[in-house]
Amino acid sequence: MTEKSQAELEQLHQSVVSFGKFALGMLKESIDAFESGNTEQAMEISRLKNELKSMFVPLEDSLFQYLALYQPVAKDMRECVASIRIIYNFERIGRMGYDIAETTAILTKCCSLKDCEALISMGRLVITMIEDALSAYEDRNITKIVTMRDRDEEVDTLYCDVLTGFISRMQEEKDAVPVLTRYVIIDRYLERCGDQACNIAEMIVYMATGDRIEIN
Amino acid sequence: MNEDTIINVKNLNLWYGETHALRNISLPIAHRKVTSLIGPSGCGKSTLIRCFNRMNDLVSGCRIEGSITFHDKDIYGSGADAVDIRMQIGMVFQKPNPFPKSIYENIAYGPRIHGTRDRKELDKIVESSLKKAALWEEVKTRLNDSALGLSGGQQQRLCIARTLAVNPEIILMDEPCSALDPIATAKIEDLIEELKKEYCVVIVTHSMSQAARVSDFTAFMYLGDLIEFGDTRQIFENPKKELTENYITGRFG
Repeated sequence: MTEKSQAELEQLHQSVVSFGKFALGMLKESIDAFESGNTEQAMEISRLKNELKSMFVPLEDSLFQYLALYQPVAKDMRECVASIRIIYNFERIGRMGYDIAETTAILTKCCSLKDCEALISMGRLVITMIEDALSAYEDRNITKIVTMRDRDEEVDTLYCDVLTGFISRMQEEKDAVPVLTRYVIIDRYLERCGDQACNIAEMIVYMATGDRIEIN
Repeated sequence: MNEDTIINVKNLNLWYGETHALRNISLPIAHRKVTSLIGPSGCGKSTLIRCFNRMNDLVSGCRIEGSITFHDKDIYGSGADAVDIRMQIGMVFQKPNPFPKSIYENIAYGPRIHGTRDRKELDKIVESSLKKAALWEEVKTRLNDSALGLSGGQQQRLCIARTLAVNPEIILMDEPCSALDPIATAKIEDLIEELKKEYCVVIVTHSMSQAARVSDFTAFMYLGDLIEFGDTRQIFENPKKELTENYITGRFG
């Protein structure tokens, strides 16, 4: 590999990190907007959806082009392939941030927010998982993601607890069903974001060590 | 070594005069598989492949220690006949080197000097060898034309057919595609895939992607040492040695 191709791969790595930060930012802000019931903030995040897409497609193209031009092997191949998978995971996280924001915007317009602490703490937990996955990718170091499976199990348990709580409330408070249904949707989005963090972690392990592991 | 090993190299050392060119190499070569030897220029890969059919016998000042067995018989042992070994272990070189004879004679030459005189028998050998080398369809109507009139890629396949004509078990290829265009290279690679159903193929190549595409096992050599040997997929996806990683990813060499 020439110095040029090494520099290009490093540049791609940085672009993936920037993309990851952007997508994670969308999710974080959507949870903030949900917590504060801030319609304006939620709508602002909705507007970022196109920007997310316009970052994703050229980055994916650049990674494909890198594969075709340099036919990397060993750790370079693993980095390139892992990055292709990881940007897809981040794109999903960004889009779920958008979905949560959209749901929040509807909630704040038509209903009052109530009793969503469990959801918010689950959101914060998921965010730390994604932050650590992003940091592990950036540093090519798996130390921060070794507990990912345990953390995902915690999220899954929370998801089920929250869901069960909402279902029983729905049975008791028929009027709250429209709001609670949307809480259930957000609950599901957050659980899926935890899965995406695990997918990213799996790919980072492959990138850094060559081992294929399954976390979720 | 397992039952599929056809060549077994044990503690092989080779000197060209004072130069220690191969250092304590041990390596099994599997039958009906493709093994590629990779490494930077001067690492000893061509020297090693040339040991397999005693081509280094012709180099003055070349001295060998250790053993190379072919079907458990030492090819450098006292009873081993170099001509016989080269019939069973054929070789194709970097630059196609057909004889300045007809296409037919290029193929018939080997079997004839090994005693086949019957014309019908020779015709059969020529046809089957050219078919196995995926050249028959292109030359069947001009077998008496000079082989030198063929393209580079066709000449290389002719050289492979010439090797096959004496019914070897092993085909050694020393950078067989380095003088060929991408289309001719692809044909040789397809041919290697076919050949390994029947033969053992050992290939020296400077193309990492070619080694990754065609071989089942890969040996990485550096400065006369065998650094790493293993399943090709493992070598190119996750090599165990840092030196291998640095070489195949182009960080030196």
